[in-house]
Amino acid sequence: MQKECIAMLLAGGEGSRLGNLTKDRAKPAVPFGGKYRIIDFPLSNCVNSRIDTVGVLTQYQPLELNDYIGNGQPWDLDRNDGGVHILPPYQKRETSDWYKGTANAIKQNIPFIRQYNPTYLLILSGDHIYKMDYSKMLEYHKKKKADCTIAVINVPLSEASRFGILNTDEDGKIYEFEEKPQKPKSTNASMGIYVFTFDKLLTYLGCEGEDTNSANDFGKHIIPRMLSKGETIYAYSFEGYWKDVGTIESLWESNMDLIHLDSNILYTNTDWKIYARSPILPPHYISPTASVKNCIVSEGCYIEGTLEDCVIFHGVTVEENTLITNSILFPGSHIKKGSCIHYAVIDENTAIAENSFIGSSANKTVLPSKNLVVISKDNYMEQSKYSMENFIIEAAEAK
Amino acid sequence: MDINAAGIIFSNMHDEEMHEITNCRTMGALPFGGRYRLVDFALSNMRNSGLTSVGIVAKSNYQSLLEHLGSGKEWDLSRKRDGLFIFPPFSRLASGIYKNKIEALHGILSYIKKSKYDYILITDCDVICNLDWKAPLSYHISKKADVTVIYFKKQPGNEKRSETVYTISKDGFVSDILIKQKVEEPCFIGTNMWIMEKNTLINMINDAVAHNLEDIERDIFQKRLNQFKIAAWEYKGYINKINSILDYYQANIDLLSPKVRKELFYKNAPIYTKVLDVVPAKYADTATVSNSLISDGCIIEGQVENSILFRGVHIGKGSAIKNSIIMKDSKTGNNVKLDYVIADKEVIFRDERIMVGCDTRPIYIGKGSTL
Repeated sequence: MQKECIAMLLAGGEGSRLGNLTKDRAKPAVPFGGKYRIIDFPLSNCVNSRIDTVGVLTQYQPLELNDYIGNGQPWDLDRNDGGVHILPPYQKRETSDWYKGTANAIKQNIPFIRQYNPTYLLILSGDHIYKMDYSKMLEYHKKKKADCTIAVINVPLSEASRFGILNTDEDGKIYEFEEKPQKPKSTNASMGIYVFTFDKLLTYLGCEGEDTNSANDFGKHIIPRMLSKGETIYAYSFEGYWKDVGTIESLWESNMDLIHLDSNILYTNTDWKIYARSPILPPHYISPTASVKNCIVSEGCYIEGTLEDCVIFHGVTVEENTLITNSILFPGSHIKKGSCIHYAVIDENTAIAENSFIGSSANKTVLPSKNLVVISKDNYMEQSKYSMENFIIEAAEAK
Repeated sequence: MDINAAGIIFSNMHDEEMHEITNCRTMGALPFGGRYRLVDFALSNMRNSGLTSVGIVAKSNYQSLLEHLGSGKEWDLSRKRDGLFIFPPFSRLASGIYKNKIEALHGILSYIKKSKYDYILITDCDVICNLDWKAPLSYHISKKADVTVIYFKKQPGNEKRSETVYTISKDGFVSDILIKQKVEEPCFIGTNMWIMEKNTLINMINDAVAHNLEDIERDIFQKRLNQFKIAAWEYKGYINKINSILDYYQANIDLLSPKVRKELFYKNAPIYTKVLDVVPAKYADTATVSNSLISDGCIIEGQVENSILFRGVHIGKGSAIKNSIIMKDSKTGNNVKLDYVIADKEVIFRDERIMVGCDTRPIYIGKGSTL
């Protein structure tokens, strides 16, 4: 059956900037915001925008992500016609092709897309936190009779050189695209969200006899080539909360944004629900010895200690006489008696031994996020060989 | 592993004793413990014991129950083979709604007859426990009994009314039944959970209808103790039967004990319920919370003590909530004081409101009220 628009979600990024957090999981499967994973945001946006067919392109460490998405039921994407499909790279008769880039990944999945014969193709990436109605962007794309529409967000000039910058005329038509420019001419940063008229995209993906090796990436190859050939490309500006959570610092910052009600996308616009695969746990318990201030706390936790400015995922245990500030505790982590934790990210199912001291609260002159300590399962394994007591990790000196 | 039994859950017992709270819903749909409904316990126990066919008998006001259960997906009972069956009321005997369990069972006789399993497990939905039915079922088979009833030992302490009390012989069979007793001393209390062979149940219902009997316990079990071999199996874990608003209040407050929560939620298997996809709970920097269960979606700016907050509750600045149960989406303004209050869903307390009940008589506030 023909669909007007289907989405392709690029979830294969290695996520090397997230360090140990992505050692065993793909970046989109990294926990976020107390009960979610990063991929819940684009997936929920799709469902809320009434896009019911989503291809999820995976590559690195896909196990946890595949397991998490399952049949798509938590996002209402277990459909007879459409729904969510996991699309890993696979062995072909002559070659086996690892995805070489964003555009190459789409190209390799053309047979999947053709099943639905869409007029438009929505390309998303799996590492951003935002709530966006894609159907409005699609309307805009149709109204402008564009070949491609790129969502843009206004970023501070000081940060603009980190992004792909789109220079547009007054109407929003893009005449120039600069990837991470030294001297940005505007502050319209690409959000990595594209709507393509599918037929047009096909000709640029190099499917029709062109040089196939050079069209691997949307930002580097496809968009500049389309511009040079004079195709109509428009910028669709998005206003609202948007954060690239590709680094540990930005992941931490974006989580911390949630504990302030005014900058919190979860608690504003609650009709636009973010769906997640939920654990089966009772409500969380706060004991008489506990103190919880300025935090978000999820289901199944057992809190006896003092928490300030924290994001606590489901199934976390915090024992007595502990002080935890400015930290993120991933699902099932267990902080034992007498521990003190500042500016840290504690990975899933990681236990912190009694009387441990983690992180640094002292150096307030540098950005707190530069002092972050990440405790992954590996850290714990190494330490536990020696001693369960006095597990001390101090933040590295700020660079 | 699947077991050789089908389940039947009555969603409607004891409505009369707690009519305020069950006016707008059937007992099975009664919210409990921050995010559950009473029926979740009976249904999850059956699903976790390996049953794949469960029938729920509804009587009146069952719209909220239907809404809660949906297709049974959350309990993994949305199946091609068997699954969840919901039986809205109808009676083949008299006009109108069935009057008692015998009529209700007679109404669903075709479900029982069609069942491909040899045994039938029957329960009410007002019993809160985490039970693995496999143990009493194998006990039933080993005892070669006609019926096995599940009971628990009443400990001295809190007094209960209208319970069924068993006298149990040394070989594990029921030798006497007393109905609607006020219990004070240690004794054996029936849970209204029964196990029967399918054919025994069918014969029993047909016979009861032919003789115009009304009550399974009184007219069959009690009067025919000589003919029926009734085995008794003791449930030893945490259990609470809810017969009144005070029972309901106490059972909720019981959950504040880590031991009770461990027995109920973490021991055998999880208790499933409908997923609502609400955000995690948010604590403001003015929040003080102590000895309380807090669900997802709550926003707490005030003080909460010895209380249970359901999903989406908002406690305003300067408000103090003590010893209370606040159901889904209720909100308090600023400087509200509540002590021993049960607020039903979507109640709004305006600024400065003060309500104080006491431990033997918590104040109940109806669904959707604005105070």
